[in-house]
Amino acid sequence: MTDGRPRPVHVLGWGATTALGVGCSAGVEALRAGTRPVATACRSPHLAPTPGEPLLVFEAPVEGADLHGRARFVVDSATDEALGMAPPSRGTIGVFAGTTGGFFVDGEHVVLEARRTDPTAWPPFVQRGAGELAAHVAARLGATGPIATYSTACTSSAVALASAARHLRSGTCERAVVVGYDLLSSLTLHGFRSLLLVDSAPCRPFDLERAGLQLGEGCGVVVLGTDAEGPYRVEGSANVLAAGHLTSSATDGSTAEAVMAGALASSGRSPEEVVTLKAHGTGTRDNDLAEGAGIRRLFGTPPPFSSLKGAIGHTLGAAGAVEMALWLAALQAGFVPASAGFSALDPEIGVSPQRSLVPAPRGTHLFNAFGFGGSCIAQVVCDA
Amino acid sequence: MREVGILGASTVGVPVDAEAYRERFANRFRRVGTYVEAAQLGAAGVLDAHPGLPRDLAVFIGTGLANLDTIVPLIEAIFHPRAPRCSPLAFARSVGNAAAFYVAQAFELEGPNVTVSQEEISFEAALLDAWLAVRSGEVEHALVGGLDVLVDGDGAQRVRMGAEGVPGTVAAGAAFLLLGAGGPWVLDEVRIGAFDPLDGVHPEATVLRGWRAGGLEVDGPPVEHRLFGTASGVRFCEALNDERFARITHVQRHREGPWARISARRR
Repeated sequence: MTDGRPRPVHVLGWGATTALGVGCSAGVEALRAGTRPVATACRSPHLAPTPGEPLLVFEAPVEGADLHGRARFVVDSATDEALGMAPPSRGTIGVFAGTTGGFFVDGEHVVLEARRTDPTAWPPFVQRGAGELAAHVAARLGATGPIATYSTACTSSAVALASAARHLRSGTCERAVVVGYDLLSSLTLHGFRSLLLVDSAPCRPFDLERAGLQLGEGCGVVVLGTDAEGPYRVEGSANVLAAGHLTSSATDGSTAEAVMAGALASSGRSPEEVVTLKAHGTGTRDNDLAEGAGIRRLFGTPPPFSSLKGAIGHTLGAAGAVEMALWLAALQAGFVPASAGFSALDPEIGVSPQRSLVPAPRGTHLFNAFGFGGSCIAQVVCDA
Repeated sequence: MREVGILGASTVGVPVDAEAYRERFANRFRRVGTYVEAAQLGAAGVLDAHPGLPRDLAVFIGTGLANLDTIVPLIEAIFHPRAPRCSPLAFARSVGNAAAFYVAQAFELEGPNVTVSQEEISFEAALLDAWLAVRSGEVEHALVGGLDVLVDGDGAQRVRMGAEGVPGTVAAGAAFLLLGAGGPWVLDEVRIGAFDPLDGVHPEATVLRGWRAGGLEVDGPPVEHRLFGTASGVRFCEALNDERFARITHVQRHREGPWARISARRR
């Protein structure tokens, strides 16, 4: 706090390594061109084959490294890009990460490698838990502030960003490195397939014919600070738990409306001030109905909104930071991304995302994230 | 800044007492696993004494390895050498925030929920977030839980986790606190970072140490199921309920990084 007022939290840098490429500039150019690099699963040798037809996925184009090195490269490349953009700091740095599994893929790799020589081998596979992610980043940066790794399913890095803003406003650190990360893993590929939530065609968020998601992988990093000014400010958020169902929020849109309205209220903004909305938009029937209905209820006629998952897949716990990094990079490049895969309005949803690029407006931007376990979060970021 | 009070503290041993679970929840819920049951019983341990709390009560859970009782069998099934399979329900329940979800369901909560996994200092990381949120007025009350489970049975899962022969790295238990205005204790400080953990500690405070190089050091009688790093909050919660203490400072070390310190005083 300064003079009794909360410290403004500035967005100072961002970076992302996804299926669109290493770095936000590669991602922005692909979003501008409408690229959809969906691939047939799964080239990665660490992934246990799923029964039935091969799954479609969005793999990060990182070659020439073993799994351990590949995982760290994805994290480190996004971190370095974001830190390279931010002005230097003499303040205390905190690390706030979000992930569903952290470096758990290392454990899966251990099992599969052992099976090459002994098909019944059961080596130890659980290692340090999700917290290894923030520990890795903090050790690499020499960060001396608080560290925490949030694991709230697909909202993980969005929750990390909200917590980082809380820490900055409270003064526990002056810089916060927010990291969202998840790699494709056997657990999630088998799990989403078992739930019948994977589309056999490239995913179509909010579309009438949508039939599920595709998993993606990557890392997004957003650098926040109270010791310098950046092009955007984090102004507020709302975090709501919908305990009605483990894997779906209210399809009448009431929960999505409440969390978006709560985020706007926390920042003193009104729905009329929102100029873009980065939707969660997974491509599953229930998620998109719940979110789309909420958008219709809150806005009536919504501002330009899109899902990025048609272009990068669902990066799970990484999605909050990855999608914020790419969204802000696109706005800086002068456009609002189109919602890849969308073509036909679903009358039950009643609103359509962007079919094409539109010029980036200045003002208030809203970011949604929803996850298993009833986790719902929305965040407000404004042009400085 | 508001003063942050500790209104209640409870601990739960793991494996949980099935009869206690059945009695408390009166068959309202099907049993879904130790991780969830420990969370619900731990939450009941503090919330039952404070009826009438608003539904937007915030929930902060700290867990080092989350719901291993679901994840380990799920991985074993997916990597089964002859017949790989995956249960959709088990997969849905494998998310780290399953405990927060089932606590919210049991107590009809709909407020903010946060689940943190930061190895040995997971409880402290969750408590720090909750303390900041209450202190700033962002939330009125916060339920904070430290939670880890290990379904060891014949020990095979302990071996599978690489924990065999490394005492203190992984075990099981739960600790819950209710934060808000009032209560018998004041939570003066929660801190995580690179600092001297004993610098500035009140001279009258009883210092509980949760770490020493190469293993875990626990003040007081070591109880096997409470020897764990991730939910070191059990020791802190036990001290809160011990009449001998007027001030407590608990210090804990992350294996390769910062210290964590919690300081509280009796009113």
